[in-house]
Amino acid sequence: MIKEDFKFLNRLSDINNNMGIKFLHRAAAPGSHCPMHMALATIRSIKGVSSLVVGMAECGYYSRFVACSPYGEYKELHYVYELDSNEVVFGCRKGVKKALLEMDREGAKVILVIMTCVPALIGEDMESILEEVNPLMNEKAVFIDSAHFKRNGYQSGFSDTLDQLVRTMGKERTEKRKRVNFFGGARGGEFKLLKDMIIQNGYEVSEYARGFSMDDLYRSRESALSIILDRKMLKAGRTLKEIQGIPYVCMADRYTGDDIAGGYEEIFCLLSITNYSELLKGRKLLEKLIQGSKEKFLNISYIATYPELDILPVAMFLSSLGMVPELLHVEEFNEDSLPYKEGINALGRDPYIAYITNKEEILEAFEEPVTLSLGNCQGLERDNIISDSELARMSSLWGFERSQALLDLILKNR
Amino acid sequence: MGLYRYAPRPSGRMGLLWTLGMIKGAAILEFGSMGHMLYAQRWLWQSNPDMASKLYTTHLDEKDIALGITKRFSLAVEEIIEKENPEVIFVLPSTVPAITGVDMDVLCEEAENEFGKQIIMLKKGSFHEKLHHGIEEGLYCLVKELVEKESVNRTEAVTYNLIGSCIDLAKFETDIYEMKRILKDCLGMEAACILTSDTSISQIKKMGGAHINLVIRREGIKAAKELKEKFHTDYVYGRPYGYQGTVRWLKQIGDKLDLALNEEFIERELHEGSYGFDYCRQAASINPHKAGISIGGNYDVVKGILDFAAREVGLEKKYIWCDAADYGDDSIPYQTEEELTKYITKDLDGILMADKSAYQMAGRNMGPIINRSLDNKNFNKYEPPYVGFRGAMNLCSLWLENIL
Repeated sequence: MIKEDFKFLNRLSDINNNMGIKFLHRAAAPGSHCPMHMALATIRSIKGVSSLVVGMAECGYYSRFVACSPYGEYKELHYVYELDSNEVVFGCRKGVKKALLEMDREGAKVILVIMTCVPALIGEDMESILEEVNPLMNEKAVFIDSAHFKRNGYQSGFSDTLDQLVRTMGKERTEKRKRVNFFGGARGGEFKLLKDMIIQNGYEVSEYARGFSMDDLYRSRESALSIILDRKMLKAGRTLKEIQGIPYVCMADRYTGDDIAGGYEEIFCLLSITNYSELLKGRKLLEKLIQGSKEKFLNISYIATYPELDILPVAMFLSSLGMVPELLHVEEFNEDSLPYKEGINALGRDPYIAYITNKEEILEAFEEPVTLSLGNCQGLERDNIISDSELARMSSLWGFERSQALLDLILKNR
Repeated sequence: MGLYRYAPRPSGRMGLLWTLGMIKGAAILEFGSMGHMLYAQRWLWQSNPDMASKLYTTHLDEKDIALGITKRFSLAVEEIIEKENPEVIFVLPSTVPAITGVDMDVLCEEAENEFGKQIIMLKKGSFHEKLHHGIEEGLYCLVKELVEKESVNRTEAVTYNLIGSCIDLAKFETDIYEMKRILKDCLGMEAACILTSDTSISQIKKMGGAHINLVIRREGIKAAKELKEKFHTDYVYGRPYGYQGTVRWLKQIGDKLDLALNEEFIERELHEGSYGFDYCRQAASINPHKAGISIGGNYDVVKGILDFAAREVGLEKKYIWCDAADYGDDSIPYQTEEELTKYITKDLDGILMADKSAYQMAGRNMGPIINRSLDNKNFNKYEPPYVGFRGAMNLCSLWLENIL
């Protein structure tokens, strides 16, 4: 139940970092996952990565919901290091070092150390632990700080994990091949067309979404270009550029015809491919759809509750069509979010920003009725809700096709 | 503590949550990070979705921690009351405020005064406390804080409270069905309160009216002693395993209450299981190399099943252990994961009854379990129990599959 009105929330214009994002409900029932969950879920689909969860019994015990077995199919080890009361006060450096050396002896390859709330709170210096222990090991250990109190949500567990795994490949440059990396998964005709076009021009394509191995990931350093399909993978793409000099183009946040076409131009320029007009046909369809329904989008007020939707770029696109964002669920707000903030504000929109853990009783606090919800929400007619699963399907598309799918969902019952 | 290859033992905080999480009319609030509660909710739903309490968290951020801000707590209590108006709000200890030294007692007291709602702060949140500490504290706290003095008038029917039915044990629900069945048919007794896997705040409040308390795990003894002191209600501690063991348990209860056993019922039950029991005994005696049994997990369950296996059926006791350092003794020692991995290996033969980790250590597919693991779902309410006459029949049948 939301207290009286939204005055306790910040509007987008007031937000500069995660601290500005308040919870919509006073009590989360019971809340969302922590980054540890996402980190384990990420490496579960990457062959050859072992893990060491460092924390309290709860973290270690419940981590078995994700890393169900201590021994993976490809000789991965998924172990837990539980701090005792002495280590909570004096630190766990000695024990963690011993545990990592033990895992190394047992044949673990790359080890991801997942530091949870308590070691983070006591200020355990995991970086220096790894600096000490890595030279003694056959394989490399990296770590992520997954303390939940440092953010509201869980998606950093994904982006930080992938980023750290990319870092294990080091700065030693390798010979570049005609290969293109796709960071993130996509489906649909337009994506297939893009891939086919790249392949027809003599490039190999490597997709890093799920079910790849560390050896596959290491091959990404031989590539000519990385295309980012999912903003959670942007960090890894940037790191690859930093350490291996591989350029990237982020397509994940492009929804307008101009932006998508601009992205294609960058991609094909970097790949020295000139003829890609077939791909631009989608732009005409998108623009035709927008032109034909311009009136219908005007002043549609909406909220967004679906946690997996990267809402700020979407809101900027929908604001350009005249829609009115009232309340948006935002998990992370960082410097990458600033251009969207400026863009949305420049279009005269300034929605409330919140972290939404409960899907009920959201609408009661609105004085004017809200027309649409992007994501599940109790209290609206079914026709006025674009469900989580519909948004998930839309998000998995690519380019003009994705924008068109989003607008089709909005127009569906209008 | 230290390195775990399989899984660390659950903490005291988890013991509390698993004890309190199935009580109707209660809400549970954690002043801490959200992640644990979401997992806990999944675990409770796997245990009994109809019974699971509503779980809440406040979440915390760095500013709250650095500046000691506790506003989220009173806001959360306010919302829970507006939304659900539970009879009681239980507040769980959490790791982060435990380290930063937030005085949770004061916070609860203030919220209780502000909102006029009973708010119970649970202890056992320190870092060395384990599952059994939390369960003991949870059971004791319920009895101490909630049972009404006015309910001292005994019920007309002969009633009992079952203390210590918690969701960490395999068959927790079907074991209760069997105990209720045999107590009804053999002694004519009715259940007053099943603490805690099938109860409500209003049933707990009236626990003082029962004629006897049946403590089915040692973590419940402290609660039973409290009831004895408050209401002079006697208690019996133990679990009914095997044919003779079940009769002994019933007789012990009957003696305390001066009730005669229904001998006809007992005879019928013994007769019903006799063929399988004799078959199992015989199979064990002619296949001694397959008739060894290793059991590990909750002390009371291990003890009860071991008694039946070794004394009544004649299985050879092999490797036996319990999961609580405070309870281990010469006959059922406590074993750490490291110690267990020396003995529970692929070379172990015979019957194994333990948890998922032990099956993984032994390189076996899952078999009958003692303590529930995270992937254990309690969706079949009609599976056979381990306790009572039907439990004995079930165990003989399970063991026969290994022996033959």
